[in-house]
Amino acid sequence: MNRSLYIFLLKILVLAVLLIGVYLGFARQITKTFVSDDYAKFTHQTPSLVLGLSRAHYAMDPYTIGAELEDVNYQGPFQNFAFEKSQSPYGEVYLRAVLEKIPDHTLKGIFILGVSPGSFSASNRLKTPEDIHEFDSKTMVGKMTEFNAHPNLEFVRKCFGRSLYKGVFPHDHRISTVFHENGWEEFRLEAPGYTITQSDINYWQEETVEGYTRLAAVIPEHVSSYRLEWFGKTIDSLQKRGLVFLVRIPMHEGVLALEDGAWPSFDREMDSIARLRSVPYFNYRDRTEDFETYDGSHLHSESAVSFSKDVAQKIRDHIVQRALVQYYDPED
Amino acid sequence: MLFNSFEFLFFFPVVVFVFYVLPHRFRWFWLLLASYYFYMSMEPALILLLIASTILDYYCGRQMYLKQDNRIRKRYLWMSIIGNLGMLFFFKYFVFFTNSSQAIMEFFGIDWLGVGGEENYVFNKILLPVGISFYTFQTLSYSIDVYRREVVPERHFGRYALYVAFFPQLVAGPIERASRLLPQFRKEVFIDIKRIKWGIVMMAWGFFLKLVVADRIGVYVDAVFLDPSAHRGLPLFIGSLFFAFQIYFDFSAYCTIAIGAAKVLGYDLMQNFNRPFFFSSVRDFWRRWHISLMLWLKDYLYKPLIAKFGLNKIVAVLIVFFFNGLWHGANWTFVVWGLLCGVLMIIEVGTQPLRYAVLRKLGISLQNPVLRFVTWLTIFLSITTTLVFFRSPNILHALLYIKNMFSLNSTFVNVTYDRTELWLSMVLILLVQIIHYFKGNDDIPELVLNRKPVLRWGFYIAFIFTIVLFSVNRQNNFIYFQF
Repeated sequence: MNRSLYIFLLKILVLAVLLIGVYLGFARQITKTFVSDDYAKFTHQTPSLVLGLSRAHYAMDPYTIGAELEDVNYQGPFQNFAFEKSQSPYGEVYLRAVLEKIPDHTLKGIFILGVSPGSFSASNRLKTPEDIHEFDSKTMVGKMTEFNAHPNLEFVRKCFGRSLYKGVFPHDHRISTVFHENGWEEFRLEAPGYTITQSDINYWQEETVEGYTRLAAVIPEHVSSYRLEWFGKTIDSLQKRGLVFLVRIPMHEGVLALEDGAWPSFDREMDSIARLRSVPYFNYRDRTEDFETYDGSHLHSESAVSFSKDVAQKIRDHIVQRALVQYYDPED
Repeated sequence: MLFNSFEFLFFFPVVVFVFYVLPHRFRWFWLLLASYYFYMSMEPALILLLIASTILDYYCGRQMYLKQDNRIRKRYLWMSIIGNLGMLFFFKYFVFFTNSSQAIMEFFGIDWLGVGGEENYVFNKILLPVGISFYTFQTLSYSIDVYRREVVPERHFGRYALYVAFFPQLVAGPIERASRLLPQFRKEVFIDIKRIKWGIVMMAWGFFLKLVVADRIGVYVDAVFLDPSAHRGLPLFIGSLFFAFQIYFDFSAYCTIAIGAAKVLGYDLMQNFNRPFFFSSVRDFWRRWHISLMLWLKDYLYKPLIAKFGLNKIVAVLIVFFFNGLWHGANWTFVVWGLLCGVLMIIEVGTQPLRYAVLRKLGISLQNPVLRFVTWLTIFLSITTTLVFFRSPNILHALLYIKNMFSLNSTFVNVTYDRTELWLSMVLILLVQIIHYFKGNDDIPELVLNRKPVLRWGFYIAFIFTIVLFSVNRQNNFIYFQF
C-alpha cells in the first residue's frame, strides 16, 4: 500500500512539474510574439508619458512627438500609457501606475494628459469613491503590480485575456491596426489587401454616434468628483517630475455634440483646472476638419501623426516662451 | 478563492495532504478550518454571517429534536426560517426592494427613503455575501427536515458547521441535504488511490469545461451583451445561444470540480446537472438543470403550496418559478426570467391535450424524429431567449437585445472578436455535447481510468497541453458565485 501510495504521489508530482513547466514555457513564448495591444506599455520605464483613454491611445504617436521636441531640453523618450476607456480613467489606481512608469531620477519629463468627459465619468452603479476605486482596481492597470519588466509574466497571467496557443500560431486578424513598442496603436486606412474607404468611415462614425447614444441610455454615467479630485492630484504629482500639458483630442462633431450635451461646461472646467495649476490646456474640440477619426472617436494613422506633430509644436512653443519669460529681465 | 485561481492550486493539495495525515477525530476540525479560510479569502468579515447561520440552525435543530410539543417545535422551525430568510433578505434583497419602491415613489414625487436620492442611501453599501443563497437553502433544508423528523439532528457542532461550510460546495452548491452529507462526515475515510484518481480526473474535466469552453464562449457573450445597440440579428442570436451554453458549462464545471474535490477527500456530492440539453420537454429540462435547487423548490415550496395551501398547480408553478428567478439575483431581470420559465412550463402542460389530439388526428407519432427535433428546437430557442433577461443588467437592456436580435439586417459591426475563436467555441460546444450524448459527467473518469497506461498517460499529457494552450486566461469568476 505504502509503495503504491509513493508511486502515486510521484506521478502527481511529475504531472504538476510538467504542468508548471509547460505553462512557463508557453507564457515566455507568447511574450516573444504578440501578447496584446497593451503589453508594450508594461515592459519599460520612460521619463515622458502620454496619458488618457483610447483617444490618446490612438492619437498620440510618441515617436513623432519625440522627433518634434528633439531640440528641447527634456528627458525622453516618450511612451503612450493611455488605455481603452474602462482601463484608465483618472483616479488613484491610474496615478499609482503612472508613477511606477517614471524613473526615479526624472525631473524634466513631459506629460501629455488627454482629457475628455469619459476620463472623469463613472457608471451610476458606482455610487461612492470606494466603489469607483474598487472598480478601477479590477481594470488591467489596477491588477498589475509589475509595470516595467520584459518578459512580463505577470501581465500574461493577469491581463492576457486569450489563449497561449496564440504564441505558437501568432496571427492577428486586425490587419488595419499596428502596435508599436512605444505604446501607440496605429489605425491604418491602407493595409495589404485592405482599404478603408470614406464610406466605411462615414458608416462607422454614424454607428458610433448612435451606439454612444444608446449606451448612455442603457448604462448611464455621471461626472465623478472622485475622478476630478484625483486628476488634480495626478497633475500635482507629475508637476514635480516635469511639465504637464492637457489636451482635448479632436473627434467627430456628432460625438462632440453628445459630450457637450452630457457635460456642457467641460471645457470651462478644464480651463479652470489648468489655470489653477498653471498648466497649458490645448483644446482641439473645433479641429474636426483638420484631424479625421476613422470611427467618430479615434484618429486614424495619418491624422494621428499630424496631430501628434501639432501638439508637439505647441509644447515646444510653450517651453521656448517659458524659457524666454524666465530669462527676461525687465531691468535690461 | 476561486477554483480556477493559482491560490487553489496550492490550497487544495495542502488540505488533502494534511487531511490524510491527521487521525479521523481531528479531520472535521481541519476541513472546517480550511473551509472557513477558503471563504475568508474572499470576504473575511462575512464569515460571521455564516457562523451565525450555523449556530442558529444547530440550536433550532437540537431544540426541535428535544422538545415533544409540536407547537414549541414549530416555534423553533419559524425561528430558523425567519433567521435565515431574514439574513438573506437583508443582505441580498433589502436594497433591491427599497430602491424599487423609491423608484416608484419618485415617479409620484415622493422621497420615500428620505435621503435625497438613491446615491445617499447608506444601505447601498451592503455587501452581498458570496454563496449566501446556497448555504441559506442548505441550512433551511436541515431545519425543515429535522422538524419533519426526516433527519436526526447532528449532536457534534463541529461536524454540523462543516456540513454548512464544506468548502467544495460552499459558495455555489450543489445544495446538499443533511441526510446525505452528515453521515459521510461521521465515517472514517481511508486513502483509496482509485477514488482519489477518480476525483482528480473529475476535477480536470471541470477545469476543462470552465477554462477552455465556458470562458472562451464568455468572451463573445460579453462582447455582444455589453452593447446590444451595436449589433443586429445573427451576432445577437449567436450571443444568446452561446450564453445558454456558457452558463451551463460554467456552472456544471463548478459542480464537477466540487464533486471531484469532495471525492478526493472521500465524500460524495450529488450531481447537479444531467445533460440538460438532451431534454424532451420543458419539464424534462428542469429535471436535468440545477437539480439540487429544483429538488429543494419542489420539496420545500411546491409540495407545501399544493398540499398545505391547496393552491392550483398553475399558480404554484408560477410562484415556484418566481422564487427560482428571485433566488438567482436581486434584480427584476431575474424575476422576469423566472416568470417566463414558469409560463413556458404552464404553456407546455396546458396545451398538451390539444397538441396530442392534433397529432393523433394527423397520424403523427410522438416518437417521430422530425417532430421531436422541432419540439426540441422550439423549447431550446425559447429557453435561450428567456436567458437574455438572466444575462442583461436591466429590463430595457434585455428588451433592446431581443428587439435587435430579431432584426433581419444582420451585421457584425463592432464585434471585436477573433473569428478563429468563434469557430473554436462552436467546435468545443459540439464536442462536449457529443461526449455528453454518450457519457454523463459521472462516467468521464471511467472513460480515462479504464484505459491502458500508455493511453492514460497520453491523455494526461494531452490534457496538460490543452489546458495550458487553450485556456482563456481571464481568471473569471464562476457565474453562480454572485448568487
